Amino acid sequence: MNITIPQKFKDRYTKLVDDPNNFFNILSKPLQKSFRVNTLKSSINEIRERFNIYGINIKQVPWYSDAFISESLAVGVTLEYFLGHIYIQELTSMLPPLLIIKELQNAKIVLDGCAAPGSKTTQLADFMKNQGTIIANELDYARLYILKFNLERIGVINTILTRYDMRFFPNELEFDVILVDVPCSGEGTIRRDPKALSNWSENRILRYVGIQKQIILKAFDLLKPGGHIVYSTCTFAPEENENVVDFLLNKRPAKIEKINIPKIKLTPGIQEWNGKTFNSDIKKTVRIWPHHNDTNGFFLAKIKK
Amino acid sequence: MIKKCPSKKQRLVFNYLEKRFGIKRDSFNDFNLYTEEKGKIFLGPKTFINRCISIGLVIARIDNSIEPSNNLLQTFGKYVKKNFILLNKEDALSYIKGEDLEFLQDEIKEATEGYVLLKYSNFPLGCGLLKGKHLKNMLPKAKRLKLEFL
Repeated sequence: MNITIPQKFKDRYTKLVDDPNNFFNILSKPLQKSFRVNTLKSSINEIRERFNIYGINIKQVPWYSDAFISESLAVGVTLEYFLGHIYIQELTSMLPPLLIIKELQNAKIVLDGCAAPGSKTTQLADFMKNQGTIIANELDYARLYILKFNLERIGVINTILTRYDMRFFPNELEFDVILVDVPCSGEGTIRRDPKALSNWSENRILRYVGIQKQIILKAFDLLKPGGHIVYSTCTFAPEENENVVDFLLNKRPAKIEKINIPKIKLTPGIQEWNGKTFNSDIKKTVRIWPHHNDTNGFFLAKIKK
Repeated sequence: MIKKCPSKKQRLVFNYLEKRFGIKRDSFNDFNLYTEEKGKIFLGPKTFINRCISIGLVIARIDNSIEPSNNLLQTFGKYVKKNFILLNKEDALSYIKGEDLEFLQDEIKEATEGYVLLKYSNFPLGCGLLKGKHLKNMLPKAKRLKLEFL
């Protein structure tokens, strides 16, 4: 895969990453193909059995038993794909719902604030066994159509689709759990999209920060006391990550919770960036570097009200 | 605008699903029915909010008659007791590709004319409209696929 990594990008992240050479090298390697079993319609054993009959090799992901890796493109032309027994999804995108799997067992109402294309919404519905209610919100009309299509294919019934700018989501309801996979500069997606860094600049990063801050505040205000937010981005930039969570901590009585997923390497959030020091709880947030687990880049924070 | 389905319309839908497919009303106990101006019937969560774009699954459309959706038959196919057709591998591949099918009388003995569920092995594939020995494919275009593994 041919990619150009801007020198400024290299300079910036050499300061942040543990092993710059490995990090920059893996960015030009294509992403592993992965999918998740939809247990609303099928089971891990059934999928294993069927793919074995087809002769398609699949390998279970060590940190999430519903997830599999396959080097074969054929996964998308199987009966199981057609029937919605599996959902093709990047590994890092499976993490936000996984962080709140326990909280979802008792959740009555959940908001997926930036829901399209529906990977996380369908996973939430799976964890909630199609019970309770999910509000899946998406502003972009074309992406709303894709979201609807994916929900139908997976057999999700407990979901209501809304179309609001998440910054101005109406205050009528309070939620037990809110996912905000916010719009971001997308640096971590380069293994899927080789052009992800073609317009890269520090100014481009800063363009997203305002909207991210507004979304995280709005999400917190929509939460029931004791409820949880998972804030996530697919970018490395501390401005869009630690900085945004730190902003919330300064504005609201939010608590950051420790993230613990066995068998995946997570790097704690940083305490200082470009001369700015963050709240000490920010180290409970995590960054996923692509070379640690052979994935995309990602950032996660689990927040409690 | 989507709103709660009036009880008369609910009865109409539930009676149709039981009479045509043998799907019992209690299969839907966890959910509510909703409707909108164009006659779509949605099966969704019991919580409802105004100004939503869509809710749950579209399970049918009521015009002059009731048309069950592909979503309904694929998701609730395991409860279907009658008016289904079991396809062989070749026909299942053609159906999923979006083609209409022709049957021999013997192959459609579990079905009468009207909407039917197409099955392959134990898998509910989707909806078709049976007229005589001809099956019109009701699989939405966006869902059609050329499968390589079945």
